[in-house]
Amino acid sequence: MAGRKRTTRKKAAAEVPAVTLDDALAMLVQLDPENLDGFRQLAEMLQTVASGTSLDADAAELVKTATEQLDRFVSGENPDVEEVLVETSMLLEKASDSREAGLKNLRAECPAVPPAPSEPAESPLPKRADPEPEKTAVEWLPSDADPDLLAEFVAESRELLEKSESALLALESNPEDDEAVNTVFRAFHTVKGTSGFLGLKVTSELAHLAESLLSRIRNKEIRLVGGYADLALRSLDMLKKAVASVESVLHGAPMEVLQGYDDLKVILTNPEAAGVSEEESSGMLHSSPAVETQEPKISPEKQTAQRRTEFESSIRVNTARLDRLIDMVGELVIAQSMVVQDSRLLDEGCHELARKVTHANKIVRELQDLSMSMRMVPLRGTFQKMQRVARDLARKSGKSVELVTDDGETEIDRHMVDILNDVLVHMVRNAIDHGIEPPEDRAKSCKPEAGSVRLTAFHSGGTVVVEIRDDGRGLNREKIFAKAVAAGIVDPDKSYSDNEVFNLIFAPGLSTSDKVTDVSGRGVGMDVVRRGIEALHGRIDITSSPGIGSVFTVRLPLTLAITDGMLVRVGSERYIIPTIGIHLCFRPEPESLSTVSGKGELVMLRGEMMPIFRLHRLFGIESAIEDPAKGLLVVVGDEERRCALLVDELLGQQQVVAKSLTKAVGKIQGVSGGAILGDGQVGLILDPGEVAAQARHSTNPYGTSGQYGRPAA
Amino acid sequence: MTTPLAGAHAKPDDTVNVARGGKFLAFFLSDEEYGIEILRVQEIIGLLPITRVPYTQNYLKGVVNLRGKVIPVIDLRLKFGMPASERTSETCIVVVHLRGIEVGLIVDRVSEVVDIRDEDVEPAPSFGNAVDTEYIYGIGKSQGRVKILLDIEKVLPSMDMLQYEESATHSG
Repeated sequence: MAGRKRTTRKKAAAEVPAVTLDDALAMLVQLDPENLDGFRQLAEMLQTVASGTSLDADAAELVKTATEQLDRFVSGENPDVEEVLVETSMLLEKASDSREAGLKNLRAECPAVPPAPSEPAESPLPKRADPEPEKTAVEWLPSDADPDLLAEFVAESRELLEKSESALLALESNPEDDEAVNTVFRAFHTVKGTSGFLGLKVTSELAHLAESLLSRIRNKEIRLVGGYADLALRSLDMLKKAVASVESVLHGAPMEVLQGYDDLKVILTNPEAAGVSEEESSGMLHSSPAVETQEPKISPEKQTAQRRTEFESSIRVNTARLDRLIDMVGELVIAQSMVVQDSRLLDEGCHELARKVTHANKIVRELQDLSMSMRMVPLRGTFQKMQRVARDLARKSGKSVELVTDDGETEIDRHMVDILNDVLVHMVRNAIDHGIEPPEDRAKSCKPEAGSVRLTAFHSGGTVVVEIRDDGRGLNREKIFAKAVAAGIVDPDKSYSDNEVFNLIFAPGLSTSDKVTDVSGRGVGMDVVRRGIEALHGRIDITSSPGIGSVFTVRLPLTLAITDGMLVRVGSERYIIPTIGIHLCFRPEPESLSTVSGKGELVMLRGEMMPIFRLHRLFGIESAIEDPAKGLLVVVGDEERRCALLVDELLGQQQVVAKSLTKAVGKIQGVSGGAILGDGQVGLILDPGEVAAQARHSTNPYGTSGQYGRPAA
Repeated sequence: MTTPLAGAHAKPDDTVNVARGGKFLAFFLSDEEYGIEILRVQEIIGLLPITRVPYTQNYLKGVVNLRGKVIPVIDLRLKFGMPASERTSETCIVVVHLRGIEVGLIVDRVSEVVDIRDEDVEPAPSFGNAVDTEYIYGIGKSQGRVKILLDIEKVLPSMDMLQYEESATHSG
């Protein structure tokens, strides 16, 4: 079809009768503005559709008008590619709507589609003409929607919208960046086209309006600053919501109502009439009272340097399948190590075989590294989202903040990204809301007016370190301590190290903020941070100097799938204790041991007393070492509640792939999971904190063997 | 012979077993012969080293590594209150599907796959309180011998019940 001359277009109808309006719509979406041939083809296609029998008279008329639009462009009469595209797609969508309306009379409603009570998209014409805008909108799924296509649409749109969000933020600091405008424009355009093609009218209408706004920016009619920037971001958020609602419906959830959709639509249709301008936005766009705000400066040069367009080719793979692959590779590694350890390989005369096994070994190791890397995603995306958080918050709180991010090309496990995202949101909020002072205070202390928050990530000794550094007022040691005393968390008479005091900010309900704002001050945020980091098996350290700023350092393992553990033996059983939870291991001197009322055992280590819990008694294991002086004590637990677990011996350090036991045997106290050991047997991974808690809570933790574990079978 | 196997899970709990025939895997516990629907059975493996799990019922022998999956292993003898037996070369683990996971069952000896006709399956007899027949799907007759057909869903109603009741331990 590409080579066909325009003169032969009339014949096309007879030759290609199968072309439908949907095909044309799909093609319109993929149209490349540079490629004139594409426009010609589309015009031909539309001619075919219009002359066919699939459309009623109204629709056919609309399609003909669209064809004329395209012809005018191709012949050079109308050089504005944008206008043509927008016009054409509007006409085609109208045509499609009117055809849908015609078909709907013939087709019975599919019962699986939840009916929308205040359905605005039912009417074949765009809602703009409506005299009374409704307050909400509901995305309506066409009855013949293909779930696979919809799922693909959701995934694709999400990616596009995320890209356009960072582009929009970049644009705000550098409004002249044409490439960013185009990125956003293309994203909106694609979402519009695909959603229109899938019959998601609300989404497509919204995307269309947002696209029109962007098109004005692209044509330099307006600049993406002030109210327009807010409006663009608001449309983006609404689109995200719309996409999310499609996704939740796919998962069987009820239809979500898009709050404020119609308000937004009215504003988008005519932004100027609604008071949007390049000036600072009025209260209409913000629910918070209008504060004397300043344009937050997000250093443009850094941004541009970071924004690298990625053209790496990729495919989408179901994560369950990927996880299975990684599991299987793990199995292969274990199977391979069993072969390597086979005693027959060491025999004389097996050199040839040994050489081959070594070769296979190398390949397997490489395969393992590769499979692990497959689940890793760059931190860059997460960091980019923080720009938005910082921007919104700086605006709300009337502070001037510069967020500098440096991801150092680090990658982390995909499963960790979501938790880390929540953690970072709260930490960035904390830094801006509590750390950075208001501009007037900063001026007094001779600091630059714009506060700086630095978000960096780098690798350090097998862990990923994420650092948030602000140049704000620093943590107020006295205030935190006073609050903690008031909350009854600490003993006012004891002395605490700086680090211990700073760590108190993670206690739930403790907030050093004097006033509760809608952003922070309820003492929840830092609790979320603590929990998140615990869930990630990470650690957080705080350093702070008054008046100069604070540094929060988060250390995370590269992946949750692999646990770095110490293999210990207790009687005939072996357990893995995560290395991160172990403070030290030692064999006690007999004189350092003592008992309380003849039962509770204590050990003295460097002047510190701690209780001894015997793992073999807790777990009911026989034939284990009874005398602590002959076994080993593993010191676990947090700062103030340390305890020593008695084990027989250490078998060495090992990296294991943690597997959940919950499905197999339910949640077992003190056990966080299982792992396949080098010999193929399952080893249990202990949760030292839970083991200690279990031992403490038992009324009689020194009962006879079998009481606490399973009675010997 | 082409009677479709009625999934034991498909019938309501309180109705009397409408016994259905089909293909069953027969195995021995002591000198009693049992049967499990063949469609439930994934594979039969030899005894593997079993890792014990603390705070669990005694009939849960522990967990094993089934090609990378960690699966629980139940000693059916202990589950049914029979004395534990010596492991022999015939002792094996029957891996069955149960609510989306695989579960290993230790049995003394696997004998055969039998075809039992509908009319040869009788509902579980009642022995009063002496014997719990809740998990018996029916009694099958085949070649003059009796096979106890198990409703595996009822043998292990939930994985949580594998845990040792903690309240009991605290009173010690």
